[in-house]
Amino acid sequence: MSGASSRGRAAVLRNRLVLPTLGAIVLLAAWQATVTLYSLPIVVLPPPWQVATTLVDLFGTAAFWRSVGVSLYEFAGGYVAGVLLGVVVGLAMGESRTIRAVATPVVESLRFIVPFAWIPLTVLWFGTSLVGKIVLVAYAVFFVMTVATLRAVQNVEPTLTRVATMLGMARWQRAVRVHLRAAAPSIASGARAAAALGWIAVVAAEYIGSSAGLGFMITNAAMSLATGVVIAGMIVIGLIGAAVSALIAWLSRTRLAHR
Amino acid sequence: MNAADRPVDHPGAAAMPGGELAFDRICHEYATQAGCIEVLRGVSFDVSPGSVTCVVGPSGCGKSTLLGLAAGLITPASGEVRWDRAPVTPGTNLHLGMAFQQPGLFPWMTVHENVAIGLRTRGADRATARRVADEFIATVGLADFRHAYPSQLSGGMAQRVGIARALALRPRLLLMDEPFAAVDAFTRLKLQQEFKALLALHRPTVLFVTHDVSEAILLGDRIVVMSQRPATVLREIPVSREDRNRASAAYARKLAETLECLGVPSDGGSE
Amino acid sequence: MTSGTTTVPRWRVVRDRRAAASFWRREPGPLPRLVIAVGAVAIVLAAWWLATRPDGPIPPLFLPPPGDVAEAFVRLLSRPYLGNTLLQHVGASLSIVLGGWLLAGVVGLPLGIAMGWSQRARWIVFPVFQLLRPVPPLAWIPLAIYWFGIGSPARMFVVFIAAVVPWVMNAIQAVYSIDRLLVQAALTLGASDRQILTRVVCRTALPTLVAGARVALGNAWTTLVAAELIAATAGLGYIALNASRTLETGILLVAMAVIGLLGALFSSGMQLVTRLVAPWARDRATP
Repeated sequence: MSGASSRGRAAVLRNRLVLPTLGAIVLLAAWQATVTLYSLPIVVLPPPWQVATTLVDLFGTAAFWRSVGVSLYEFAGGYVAGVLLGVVVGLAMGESRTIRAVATPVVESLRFIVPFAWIPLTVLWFGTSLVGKIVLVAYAVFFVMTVATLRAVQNVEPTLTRVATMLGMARWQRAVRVHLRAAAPSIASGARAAAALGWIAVVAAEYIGSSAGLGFMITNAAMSLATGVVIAGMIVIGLIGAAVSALIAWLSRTRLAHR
Repeated sequence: MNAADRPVDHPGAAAMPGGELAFDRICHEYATQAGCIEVLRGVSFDVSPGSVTCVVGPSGCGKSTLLGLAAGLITPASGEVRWDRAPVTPGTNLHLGMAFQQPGLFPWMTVHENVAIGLRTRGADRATARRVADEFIATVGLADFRHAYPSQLSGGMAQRVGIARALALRPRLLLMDEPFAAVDAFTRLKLQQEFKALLALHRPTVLFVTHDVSEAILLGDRIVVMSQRPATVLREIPVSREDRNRASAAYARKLAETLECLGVPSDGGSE
Repeated sequence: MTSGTTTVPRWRVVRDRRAAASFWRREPGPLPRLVIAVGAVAIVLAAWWLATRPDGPIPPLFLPPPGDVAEAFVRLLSRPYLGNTLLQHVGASLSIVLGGWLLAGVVGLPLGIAMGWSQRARWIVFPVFQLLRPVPPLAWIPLAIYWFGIGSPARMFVVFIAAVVPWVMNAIQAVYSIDRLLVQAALTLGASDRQILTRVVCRTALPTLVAGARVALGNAWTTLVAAELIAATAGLGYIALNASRTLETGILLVAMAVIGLLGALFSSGMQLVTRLVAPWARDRATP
């Protein structure tokens, strides 16, 4: 029925294109209105077009891209380390009662210390170097991934375990080829949450104790009252975070989906 | 199917004929929040090599538990399960193949890969695994769906893949948990015929759980009737060739006998 | 006579409950678990103590011995540090977190319900929401400092932003999850719109709402800690940061431990609330 499908296509068009554009227009209009109505000085809230030009200028600056590069490097290093360690530990905890019993108290007690709370300690231990940020991100991501992996592995349909045993798989073969693979979509969504957390951890760490990176750039701009740069920086942070999340979602959809 | 078709490194291929499965005074219980539920009490029976034993009984009476015990997936609370005169080892047992009540297909693998994986795990090389898998997929009538994913299959089709997977292992002991339950009646008849033909070719020992008494008569050399929980063996009813002819009086008698044992009056009850 | 009956002890029966093939996936009983937990903690403490002995490998500035940390804890309780005792700092942190969280609920819950209920509202507000969401709440801090200066309002603002998102999203989800059949049943029984909203909608949607509150509180707490590191004059994060700068590692560790403790308290508190308010619900929250 052509009626139904054209309605469907119209809905998709509306959701993906029209509404976001409308929303953007509303937002920008409200922004501009606030600036003009309250005659806000540029230091407090620059008008949208100014932020846009600042953003474009930034894109042309080498220093900006260097900062982004540093932050991304710190994030990527910590993220990969945290994911690998977290999945391995989570899987081990899911498979072995002994490991789970021993590791659970440690994981549970450290889990509640919010990752940001570790920032002062990493500054103390590692100074403002890159390594400190990588360790911080790895730490934050590790705990998210461990919990996510453990839960996902424990929620694997029991029939699959029986099937794997019946087919003749050895215990660790079963763990990796069946449990891990079956839990993969859940683990992937945990990975997305972990990415969001890790990214913001990098930025926060750079606000506090850093000599390079996006957060550092923003802090500097704040100190020199360059509000346009601050807002532009916020937008870039949001964009990168969204891009990383979308990347992981795309990867998990194409590689891992149970189809 | 001749000897040349068997997977070369397949451990079960060495001694093809089925062995003897024995349940010796099996008692088993499940622990739940409500306490211990006794599921099997003093169940004892043998399945002679190469024969088909069908287990019938009311739902929830522990028929599936028997299969789990035979497969070594469950350890009995008391009693012993023996295969080839030796106690069944817990965990992996390569002499058997099992078709579960839920198909249990790996959702990230195609139908073909699902059937082939068991062969590969047991040591067959890729080419042989592929060939045998194709063979058995064709046998259950799903040749067109070799590269489909389980999510694209109906429940009955997925169940058939599970059966193909178990059969492709050429096991000496075949455990079937109501494999044709989710299939429509017509397909079920077809599958029963094909199943019988396959069994005739290499005679594994079969323990077949079903709720369908006529299916039990058709497929089994013997019917074991189980009681309500805690289940015991009510009766072992032998089935002969004449009984399998649905048009015969012998069939009707056998059906009546089994139903009577299960507590279902064979005259249809009061009108 | 066949070979003897093997009687298997009861603990093996309990193990078999899962019918899983691997022995290693079964749970130990509560007593062994407690023992192992205590043992693990004891081992960690012992290792810590050993490593931080006066002649040990780790310098006290890096990681003070457990005794020092305990001392610092006691000291913080009694004497003011940076203007406030420990409890006062905790109070400062808590007031911001809970204040921001509640404010986010007061704003976000009705907003979310309205958006879930009325398609018009959703079309207008949702896109704006979605556009602002990718910017992490923490990224707002420099701007907040501009606008409000360093202190409570800035932190409250950031915590509010962090908490409002789960409140709204879960409220929308809760409204969506209402079974239309239930609403129709209520309608045929003669309920008014308002009655449907309060009786049917709220009851069935309650678990999701509570889950949203949980996530919101978690977000609020996480963001607060970060905010206090940057823009505060009191509070646990403030202590932590200062202690790291003045190399008073003992105090830093105490602050971190208290942060963890409060986080755990929030988490179990919300779990308790969930069980009280909506005992029929299973845990649907993404942590």
